[in-house]
Amino acid sequence: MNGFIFGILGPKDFNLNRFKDITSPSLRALGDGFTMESESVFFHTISSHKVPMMASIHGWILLLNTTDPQTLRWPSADLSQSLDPAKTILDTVLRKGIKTLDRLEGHYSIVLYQERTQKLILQSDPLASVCLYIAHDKKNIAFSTLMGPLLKSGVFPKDLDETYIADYLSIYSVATQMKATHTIIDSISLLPPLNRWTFDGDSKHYEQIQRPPLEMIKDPALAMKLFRKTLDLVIRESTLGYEKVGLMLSGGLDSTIVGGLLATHHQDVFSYTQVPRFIPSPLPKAYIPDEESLVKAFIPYHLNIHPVFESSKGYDAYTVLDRYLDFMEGPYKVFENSHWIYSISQRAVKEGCDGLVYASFGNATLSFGSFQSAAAELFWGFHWISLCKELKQRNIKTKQSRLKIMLPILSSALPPHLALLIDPKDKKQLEALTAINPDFYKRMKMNKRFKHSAYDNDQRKILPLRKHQAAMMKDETLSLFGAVNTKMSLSYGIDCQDVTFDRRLMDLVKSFPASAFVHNGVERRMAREGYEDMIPSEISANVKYGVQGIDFIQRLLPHWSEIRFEINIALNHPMIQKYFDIPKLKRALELTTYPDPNDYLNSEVRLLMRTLIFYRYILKWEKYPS
Amino acid sequence: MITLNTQFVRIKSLIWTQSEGEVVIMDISTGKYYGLNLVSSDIFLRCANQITVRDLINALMESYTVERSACEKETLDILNVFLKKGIIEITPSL
Repeated sequence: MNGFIFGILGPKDFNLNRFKDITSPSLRALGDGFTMESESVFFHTISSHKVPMMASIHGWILLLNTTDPQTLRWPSADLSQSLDPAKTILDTVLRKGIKTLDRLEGHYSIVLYQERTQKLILQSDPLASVCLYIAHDKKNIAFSTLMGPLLKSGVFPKDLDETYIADYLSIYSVATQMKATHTIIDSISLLPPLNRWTFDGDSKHYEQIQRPPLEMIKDPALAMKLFRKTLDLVIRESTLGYEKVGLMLSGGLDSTIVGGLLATHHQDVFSYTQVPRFIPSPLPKAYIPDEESLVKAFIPYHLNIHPVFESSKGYDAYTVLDRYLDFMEGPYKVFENSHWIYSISQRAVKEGCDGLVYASFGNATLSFGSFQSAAAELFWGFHWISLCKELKQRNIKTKQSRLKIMLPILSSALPPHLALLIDPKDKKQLEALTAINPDFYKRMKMNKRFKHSAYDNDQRKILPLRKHQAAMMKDETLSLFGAVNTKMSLSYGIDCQDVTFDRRLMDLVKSFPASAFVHNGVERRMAREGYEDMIPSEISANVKYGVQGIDFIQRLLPHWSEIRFEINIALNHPMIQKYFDIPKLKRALELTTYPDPNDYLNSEVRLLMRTLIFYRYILKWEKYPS
Repeated sequence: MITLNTQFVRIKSLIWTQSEGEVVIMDISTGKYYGLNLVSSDIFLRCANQITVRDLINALMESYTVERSACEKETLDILNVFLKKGIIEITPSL
């Protein structure tokens, strides 16, 4: 379970009393915490672990925040046997130097402070999977696992960063465009993966820890063996501290493989499968509506997996909206799934699970995207003979013409203005999901932002697989993914972790040959062929996709008049008027008096809900001291 | 420096596999793969649990027709490379 660290360094006259109540009830539920204060610093840690997360040796202080000390791996010292990992790390750093931290693996953020020189060092893990926010001005430096306490302290300005807002309003996920360090608050930064920031008096020094990429593997058989070994090790290590483990099991390839591996390492695995309460009609042909039957085909393979089919009764995205605000910088889709993720997490807490595992990053590290993305990889990598073979097999299997497969690949490679000429709906469809104040639109040059839209908001754009992976694995995305994981765990009261979100897996899959991605006209080769022994053929042969949160609109309907009422109030708020296109929102309200749940991709409903999320965030933000 | 009385064990978090009998080790920190020959692979496989160099050499002498002095020299050479590459770690004697 995640802990929490907070600290502030400043002039000797600052009032420590204002930091006494920086934590929230959910944080206090973790325990009393530990505080260290002097004339010029205030440090606070809270942890549910039975070992201390603060250590002090020879005037140096170390604060450690980790999901689980057992995830820490270090050639410099055996941390798995340590009763006091914070002290072991500090002792080793003092003996061997700060560079020894370069090779510390696991889920953590670390703060080092020397009292005499007031030197502060902050370090993230290889993925920034335990996030750390930093506020810094001429007088003070502060750090915190959550952004709220930094704002609550009232020491730093709370002005919103308008470039962040512009990204949020244009694509509703800032992961693809913002710098890895940016947050919605101008004065607060986020520590990116593999970074060490040193504040030394007036000077500050940012250091990116360098890790060379793995050599390319030429032999697909060797790639497969290393892939299996690595995934097995990663899953074992990241769940070592759990006695009872929960798993979000969708019936898809990634979560099923993770389930199979968890079942080999744990005596009892509780799998949670979301059952929609409404299936829209008609569904696109590529979608599979009945994920429950896939899970039921898998369960007999592992008798120690205890399946739970959850319908998240009583929850919808509107009722859990305030909890979602804690991690709203993630992709908007998380909001549409928030009701069932929340309901499953509460069920796992009730059943005594120590952690809830999922596999959403598997798209980059485990199953490697769509057939078209793999075909684009072969095409742009000039593996044309292999591509012809794969297209022929694909045609036999799916009756899809080769031209139909290749055309979107070729048009995706065109510059945005040419692509718009071929498919003029492109830009309009993206803009249909937005309602941006025209003045703000012009001032922030939003037109350019739409032209450079990335994978996250334009699902039809076919990127070659390695580019798709690179987009998912860049620091900006990893930083936010880590922040969402950390905050979701703290908000839901259970360690939520994606076991496919692992640097070793990422490094490994980037070194695979192109032939590892697709075989015999079927994509996701490594996952399908590598785990044939562990999962039923219904799942390994399935080429359809589930639709998470398919009943999103149906569930909102009982609250729809309430939602409309709240949005009508929001339209009068000066911040909404400053950033949103009010006439467009009013038209959206007129068109959605009672939305049709069968129209599950309804853009007006999404536009209104996105506005509501922003409005609620502004209300929360206004309460922080100026 | 490894001697006959040194006790050691293979690093648990290593990622490795066998390909046609030979061990391939992935080292994320250097970005390299190490392919071991058959003898080195055999030594690697025998280091899964704590063992002293002397016990390892005794076990190897039972499997290979080799003079003890040559076996000791080559095993110590291999183990020193393993130690340098972070494949094994020295553990305190019981």
